[in-house]
Amino acid sequence: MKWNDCASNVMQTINGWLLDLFEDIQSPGVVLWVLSEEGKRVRLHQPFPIRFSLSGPTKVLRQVWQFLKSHASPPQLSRQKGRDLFFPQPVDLLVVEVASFSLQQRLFRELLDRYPDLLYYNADVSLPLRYAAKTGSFPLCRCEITCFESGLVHEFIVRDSPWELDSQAPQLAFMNLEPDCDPLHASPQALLVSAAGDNYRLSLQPPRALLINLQALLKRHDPDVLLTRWGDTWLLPFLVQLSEKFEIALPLNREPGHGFLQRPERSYFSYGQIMYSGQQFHLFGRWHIDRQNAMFWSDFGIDGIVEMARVTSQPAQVAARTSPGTGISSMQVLTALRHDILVPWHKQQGERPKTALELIESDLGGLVYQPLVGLHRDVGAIDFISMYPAIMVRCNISPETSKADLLETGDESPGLIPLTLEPLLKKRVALKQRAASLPHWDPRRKLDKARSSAHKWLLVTCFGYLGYKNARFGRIEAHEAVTAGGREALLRAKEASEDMGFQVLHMYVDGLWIYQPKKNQPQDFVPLLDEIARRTGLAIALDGVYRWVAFLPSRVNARVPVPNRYFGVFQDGSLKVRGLEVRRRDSAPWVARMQMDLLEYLAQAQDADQLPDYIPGTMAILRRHLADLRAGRVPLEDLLVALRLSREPQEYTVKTAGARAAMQLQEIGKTLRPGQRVRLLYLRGGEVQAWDMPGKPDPRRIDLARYYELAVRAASAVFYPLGLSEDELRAWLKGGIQLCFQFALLAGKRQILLPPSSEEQAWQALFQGVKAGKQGLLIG
Amino acid sequence: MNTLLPAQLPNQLLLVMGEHAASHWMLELAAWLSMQGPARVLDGGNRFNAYPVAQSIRRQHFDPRVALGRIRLSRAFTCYQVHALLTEWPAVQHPTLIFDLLATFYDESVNLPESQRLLRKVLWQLQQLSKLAPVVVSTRMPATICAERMVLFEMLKAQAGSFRLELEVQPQDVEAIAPSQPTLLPFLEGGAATKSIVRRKYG
Amino acid sequence: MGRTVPSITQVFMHEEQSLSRFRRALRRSDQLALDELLSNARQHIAAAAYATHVLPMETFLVAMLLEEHKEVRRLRDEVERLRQQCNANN
Repeated sequence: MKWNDCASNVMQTINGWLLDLFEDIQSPGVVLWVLSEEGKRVRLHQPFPIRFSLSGPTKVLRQVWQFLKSHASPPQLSRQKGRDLFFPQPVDLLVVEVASFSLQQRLFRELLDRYPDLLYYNADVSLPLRYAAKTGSFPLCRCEITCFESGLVHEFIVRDSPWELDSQAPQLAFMNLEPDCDPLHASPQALLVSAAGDNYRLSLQPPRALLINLQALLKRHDPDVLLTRWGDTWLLPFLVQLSEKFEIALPLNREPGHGFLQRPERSYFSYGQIMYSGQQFHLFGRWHIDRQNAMFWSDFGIDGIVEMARVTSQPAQVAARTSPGTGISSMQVLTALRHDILVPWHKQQGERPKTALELIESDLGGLVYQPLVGLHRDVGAIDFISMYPAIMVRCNISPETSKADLLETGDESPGLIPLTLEPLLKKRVALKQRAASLPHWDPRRKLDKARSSAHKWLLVTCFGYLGYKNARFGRIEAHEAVTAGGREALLRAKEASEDMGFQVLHMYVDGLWIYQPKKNQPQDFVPLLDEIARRTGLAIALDGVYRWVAFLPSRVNARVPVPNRYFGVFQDGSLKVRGLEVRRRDSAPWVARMQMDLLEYLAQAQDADQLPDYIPGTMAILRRHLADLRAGRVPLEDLLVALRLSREPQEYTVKTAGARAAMQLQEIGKTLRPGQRVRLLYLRGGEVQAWDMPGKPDPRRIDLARYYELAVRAASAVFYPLGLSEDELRAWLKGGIQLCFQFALLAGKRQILLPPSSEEQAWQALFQGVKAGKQGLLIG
Repeated sequence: MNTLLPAQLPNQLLLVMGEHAASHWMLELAAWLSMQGPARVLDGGNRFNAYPVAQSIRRQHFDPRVALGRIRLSRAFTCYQVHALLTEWPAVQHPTLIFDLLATFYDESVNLPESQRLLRKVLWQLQQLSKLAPVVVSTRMPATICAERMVLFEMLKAQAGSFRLELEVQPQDVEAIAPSQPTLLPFLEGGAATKSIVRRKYG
Repeated sequence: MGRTVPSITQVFMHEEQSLSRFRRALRRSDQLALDELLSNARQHIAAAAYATHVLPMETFLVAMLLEEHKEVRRLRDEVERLRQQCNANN
């Protein structure tokens, strides 16, 4: 973008990376914070006018024109034609242009009040996305900027793209900031600060000293990223309050004179589940990322967050905190803006009429089979790579494109959705291929893994988003076409597998578990993979070959297999576990650890034939954990269960443990919202205690029997495929019986005798008063 | 079954109300109409479960595939979509059924004045349609947490030519009362590739 | 956006429930047989979903028959094997 030269000013060129971008509150336009190649942090300014459009009956548009001409701050007006994806013909538009983003927001709201029946386009697009559409920018893009000494940008050129596999990344300066304990659970006494290899501990008392020290640290290190824990929910609001009270300015923002952006907490519905998003605290000229509040911190850390920001063109602080659905939405809006497709304010279109018969035939999801329950050996797991997005790209499925035949390609030019997804999908496949070839020591492995994980989340989400009611470019028919393609692909894969002599043990939406005697090397599956790719036109890969894998039945009803509850060991010895306690976020860490110990021990068996040898060891591991529990050696933190609240505590008709814990917190003024998790301990007498209540409960009040129950349940899932039922496990643990496993395995018959457990008598005391029936240990 | 339904639907706006938006009755009505000729459905609350319709048609010894093929439906998931669909729809001579009309208007993601504005337009559209052919609208009350949306129901009621109340007992309510014995099946034994395991207990 | 037509699992549970009065009046031994039939049908629930029959119960009935026939074949083979064994012993 070029502006008239000022003769008196000298121009300079800056090469660097774009760190942050937001509205300039001093003069109309944007502020760009750039990290230069020399390591300097430079603040630049650029005028950036904003446009949006209206369409509707000519008569009304004329009225709007008159109204805007006589407006206190009259905008620039013009008449144009534009393309609405959902209309076959171009639409007539009144285009409104104003000097600043905030002015545009105000004008849009004002017009909406007066003329609610008009269609509004490009009216609620964020500033960073608008800038990205115009310049090709994205967070941490390489850029070359010519500007005047005053910092006024003359030209902003982007030198790379988010789709490059290896981009040159800048050296960001980090500062870690966190309280010395969880502020929801106890009162912190100090702040722990670390930057550039130095660690500091700042006492919260006296506040004046704290503020002065922190001020000095922020000035000295001038971090690009402030990495906190509980920064959104407690730390930064607390520091700001303190700094106002003592009138000591804290340079949390890099941008001078700018306020903070605080977003309140909220609960919302997403994919049929109630979700909770915590309060947010955004900085300017510097990123604030709260590890406790970042969506996928545990999945992919800062590298993944940066990648999420880069590919979606959302600011890093936003990308860290929003759902992948918002990321996908941003990508679609950006594609639309770059291809001159109008972005409607909200979606109007309902479903194209279909007959009730067509409804039955189209309103269904992916195919979920019932696995053959039990233990299987030499099983190949094969998965379509990002199946739904791949179908959208291959079959050009988009709200505006015509319906293609199942899994067929058409000759129509690519629609908005395929245009958006294709580069992302290509990058994911390229990283996947590279992962197979990179040696273990290569530093890129970790980075690639984080990035790949971010891509996966986006790609998984993009399908659901197509059917989301408020998605601007969603369409239910497109959503249905994708699932129809998915079912077809899975069935073609099944047919190909069977044609080539494999037995199909299980199928799940986009994956198959197959077995054929003596086929247990990766190369044994290559001809099949090629054949499936040929029949479907979709890429499919071998997830791995299991030495053995066990499909489990439902916990509630043992005669019902459940599709996604299994564990197995790949040939390289790595474990894969789905649907067990160890994977569940509500499990007590001690229970999860115990289950993982059992699984890891079993995973050492080189072959299913050797599993019997490992049974005495697993039993010993289980007993050791139970002995720890009984002897009080398990820290209370490891017994915490984290239950998700699905509604307000008082709305529960049956007061669940989670509801009771939430009500305890409510009484002392700590409110939890639906979608949040409440951490609690089970106490004797069927009581619970919320972990965030002041004071630790007496360890003697812990309901050991309840935890014993949870542990046995978790352990029995592991023992089930070995042929030991939950009842038998309990009976053995209680003592008095001796188990004898007699395995008829290929290696020949083996007998393993486990002595009756003697330790268990100590448990009896805990269960006194409890009716000893078949399930005598069921407590509360 | 047809004692349940009016012998002949008049060209007017009939409002049916029930706790579950009278869905059961509406589905029976859809089945009955589809055996006589084409019908049009707008589903505003994910209510059009086509299976009971098929069963009802079959009970009348009629081919469900033929009859289901005569029902043309569109689903709306926001009140904007309800309005847009009614705007696009051509005027027809055959009956129109609207399931759970107010569901999307009760949705609090759209503010109440905006919902009212859109509902006013929708009601006008329904009046126009009902001059040519019967229009049957089903609805329910707003949930207690958004009681202020009751005004939307009053707006709809004021426009109705006739009104019918369905006392709905859902199938699951009946099941909850029905006594049952637990399943008698034992644990499933492992799948084909499972190795046989014999256990013995001592002591 | 939420499904309008219930999933095949929901349909199956509904059909199962609609048999509950029938089941209650059966002798216990017959209840067991009925439970087994239903359990057999459930194994083919994904195929029944794909079939999208307007009256899914008809597909469930065929699924029950299918499992019954597999059992008949298995027993036929077993009888044949035993007969040969008998013949060989005689």
